[in-house]
Amino acid sequence: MSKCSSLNVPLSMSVPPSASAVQLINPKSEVARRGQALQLNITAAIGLQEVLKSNLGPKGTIKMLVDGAGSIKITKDGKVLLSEMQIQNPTAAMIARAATAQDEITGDGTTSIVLLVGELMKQSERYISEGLHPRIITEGFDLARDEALRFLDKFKVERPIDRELLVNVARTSLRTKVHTFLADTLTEAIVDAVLTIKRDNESIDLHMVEIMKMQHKTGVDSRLIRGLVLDHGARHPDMPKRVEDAFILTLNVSLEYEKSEINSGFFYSNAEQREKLVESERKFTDEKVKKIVELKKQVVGDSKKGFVVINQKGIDPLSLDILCKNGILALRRAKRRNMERLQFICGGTAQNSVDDLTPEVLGYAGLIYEHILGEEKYTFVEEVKNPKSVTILIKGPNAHTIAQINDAVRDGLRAVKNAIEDNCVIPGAGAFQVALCSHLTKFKDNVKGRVKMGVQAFADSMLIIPKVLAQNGGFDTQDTIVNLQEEYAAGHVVGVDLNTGGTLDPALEGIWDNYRVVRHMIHSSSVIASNFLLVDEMMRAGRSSLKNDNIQS
Amino acid sequence: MLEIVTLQFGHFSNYVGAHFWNTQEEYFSFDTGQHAQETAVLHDTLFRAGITQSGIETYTPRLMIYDLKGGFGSIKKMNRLYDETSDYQDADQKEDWKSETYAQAPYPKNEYLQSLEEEEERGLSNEHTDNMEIDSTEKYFYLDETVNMWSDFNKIYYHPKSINTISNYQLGDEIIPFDVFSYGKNAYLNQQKEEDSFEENLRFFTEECDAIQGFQVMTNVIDGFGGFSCSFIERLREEYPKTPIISFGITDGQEWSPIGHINLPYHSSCILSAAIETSTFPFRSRRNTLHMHDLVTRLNWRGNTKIGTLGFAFPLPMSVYGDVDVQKLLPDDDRSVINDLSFSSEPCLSTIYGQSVVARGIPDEFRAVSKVEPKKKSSNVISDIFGRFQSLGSYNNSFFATNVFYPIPNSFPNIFKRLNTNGYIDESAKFIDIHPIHSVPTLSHLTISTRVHKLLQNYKTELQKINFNLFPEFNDGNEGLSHDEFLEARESLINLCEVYEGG
Repeated sequence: MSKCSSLNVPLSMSVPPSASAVQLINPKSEVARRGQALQLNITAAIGLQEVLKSNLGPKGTIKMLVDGAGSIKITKDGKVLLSEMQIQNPTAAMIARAATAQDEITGDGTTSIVLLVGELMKQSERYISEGLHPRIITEGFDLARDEALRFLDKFKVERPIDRELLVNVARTSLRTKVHTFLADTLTEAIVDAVLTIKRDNESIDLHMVEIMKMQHKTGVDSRLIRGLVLDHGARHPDMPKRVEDAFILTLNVSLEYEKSEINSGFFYSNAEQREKLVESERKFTDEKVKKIVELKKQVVGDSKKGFVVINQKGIDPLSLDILCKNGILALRRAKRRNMERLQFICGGTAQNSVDDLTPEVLGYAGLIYEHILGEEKYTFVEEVKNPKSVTILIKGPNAHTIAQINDAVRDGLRAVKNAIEDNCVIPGAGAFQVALCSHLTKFKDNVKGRVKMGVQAFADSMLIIPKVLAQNGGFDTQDTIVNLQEEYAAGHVVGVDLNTGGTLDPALEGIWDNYRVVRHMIHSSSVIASNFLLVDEMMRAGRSSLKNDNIQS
Repeated sequence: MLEIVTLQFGHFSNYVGAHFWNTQEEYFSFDTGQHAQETAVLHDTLFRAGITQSGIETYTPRLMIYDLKGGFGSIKKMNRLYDETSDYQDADQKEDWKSETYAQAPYPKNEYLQSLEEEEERGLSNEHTDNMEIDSTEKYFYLDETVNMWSDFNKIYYHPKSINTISNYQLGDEIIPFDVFSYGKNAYLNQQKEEDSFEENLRFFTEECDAIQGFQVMTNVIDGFGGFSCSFIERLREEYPKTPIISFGITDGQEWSPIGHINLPYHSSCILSAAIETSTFPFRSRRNTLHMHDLVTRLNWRGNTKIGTLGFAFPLPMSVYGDVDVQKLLPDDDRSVINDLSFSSEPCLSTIYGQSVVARGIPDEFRAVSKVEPKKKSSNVISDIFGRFQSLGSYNNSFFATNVFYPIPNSFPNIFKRLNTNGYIDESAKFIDIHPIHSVPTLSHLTISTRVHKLLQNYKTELQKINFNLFPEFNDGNEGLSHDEFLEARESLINLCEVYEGG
């Protein structure tokens, strides 16, 4: 059934010669033990690292995935890549799951985690082959991790989170996902979107940024709209395509003729009776529409103001007709979340019934207009006063470009939100990892016993980030690392300069990472690696099944 | 216009769906000349007319298909109708942008798909060929060995918004299989967060409906899709509180196999599909349309009996002079030609609350083939058949007869014996594969009765044997089932059981 994949990590489990306890219980299970199990895990982790390595940083390569049907996916995002790949190695699949979970929590850092896990395993391998027990290594990891988190808190930069800093944070994130020129167009839109929806003393709800996709023109035409874009338009041919200076009524009321439960064929005895029932039900719907029309007459009167109804439920053609005759533009089946957004954009209060309509529940927009592309209609609600919700309009010539920008925008929004909520940032371009490595190497001297080897392995692993950054930029890894370490020893915080291969000051260049992303990265990579290092037996056995013997008799 | 939106959840359900849509395509008449007849089927009920950005007019189902990663085979989200030119080489690969391409081997196309492609090429190169000598609908295929996926015999194009992938799971993945109810509920939550196909895609289809008739759902029930569609339908109920929903819960495999010799998913799905197609035919019939709402309220007039069983005669055995052995029609009879697709327990006497019988392919007049036997009037045949069901003493009946046969598309497996090309019994046609069958008469019998009690009783008994603690996977994730919730679910099953107790 399943297709073979081009991205398999080239590994499979093999059966060892010796019998294990598990095999006594379940003779069908395949078992790999001790050194062999560990070896399998290490190779899988390194294999996965190899796949994602080339992604890291602004100079990382973009990956184009073509599936068996010929569909294209273009991405540079580790999370997207891991979820698109068909990973068949169990260890690799588990690392991938754990790493993508990071993205769900913090919005970034998937690739880094995979690189770190791979590197932690690789560094440990050396010590284990020399006879060190994996348990000692993981104890060292624990010590190193705790120290690293303490160090991170000292290393973080607390400065006023102003727009300029946020633009830098967003740019750092976006440049690792899309082209530089595209990243730079999106950066400001993203920062302004978050700043608009941010309210004092409340956590930022990114749902208040609507992301609307339009297959049209090119990626650089994407922009921020201080208002709302809906992906549908009026369904009546005579309704206005453009309304200015308008009242907005946000509704969640069905304006469709609905058969009641009793109208089901055998409760009435003749056709006449049925007609009557239908008529009275129609009347019920019409009454609702009339109430809206009355409100319109009340507020608009003889003025030139417009009146727009945006309804979450349906509006049938007869109701549309009444509304249209009264000069009302009406949209049906709006997204549930747009009900909330509209209140933040236009003001007013969304109504769940037409019984208490008053002018106070109405919102306002200066301009509402329709835009049609093929069979897709868009309605723009713009020129609003003091919006607390916005739309980022993503444009692109084709579906895969739009998808790629969409992923990037999503991550960018999260990065800006994180920076505001963390109230601090971390110098990027690998600067933190270089500093941490040096710090842990010193810290190791205070650690007694063989555990220090675990600490050293952890410290060395951190350098994978600047190494790969340099490698992807086409520079000599050793040169770069030596330069970085010397500069750091001289008391400077430095990261990799991807234009020269030399060093740079991330603060000066505006390269900032999220505090919580880095924190989470340190934490999860050491936990994942420790778990796999401690595995000394792997088995492939059938899962407990409802059909077999697990039912109590 | 009374539109229906179709939802398909799960790989096997998509097999059923693919047969369903191929059958719908058979109803299309491309004859637009003066001899064009009014079609018997209102196509607009299930299909929507659209236009792509490049101006191509399209006619695609109002449909949401859900499958796992790798479950779509050769079906592309942006298919030929919607595909932008392959500009990915230029627009995106600017300047110093390094890229790597990982291409999977193209999904192999079997004889059927190749033939579709060739036909299309011909259509594109020469649109107005009058002599359609090698019309592919005249070609017949033997696909048992080359159908590995539902896309292998799928004929029609879908709208890009119809194609929805559950990207966390891979079809046929043994390490992380999608086989637990709560995995499905979690997957729904995740997909709502990531893409929200409910708002983005389903809404696209419902927004343009002027007077939606209802939703028809085909869903896998025993794997993760059970949980997925459960969450989905809950949301559907919330957003469309009064719109009827008819769900066909589908399981793949031998468990329901009254038709024992059929074991390929390609085969078993065609029977389920034909049964669903037949029983829902009145919703889209031009003559005597029965709306989904009316059927639902007729069957479930008690309001709390929502579970029914579906029986199906495929074919409805009928001689060329219109003879139907009505003795063999009743479900309680051992010799019944009606297979109960819902469960295969012993036939038992039951109280029927509501039943809907759809009989198809009874022509207005039978041709007198033989002088020996008198031909029958179709009105007599119909009243004989319905009279037989009437005798079951159901509280509420819905009878629907039509002269429209169940059309057999050429993607259909060869499963019939002893039928002539029109699907009537023909004892002389002893060998299969000799001649193609274009259509067959069918009869579906949808009932809500006390038999459901027995079905639920079986579930209850099974459930009571289960030690929930042995199945930690059901507890996974945000939507995981706690022990208390498990007990609660068991309790509601017991209550549900009582509803159908009768008496």
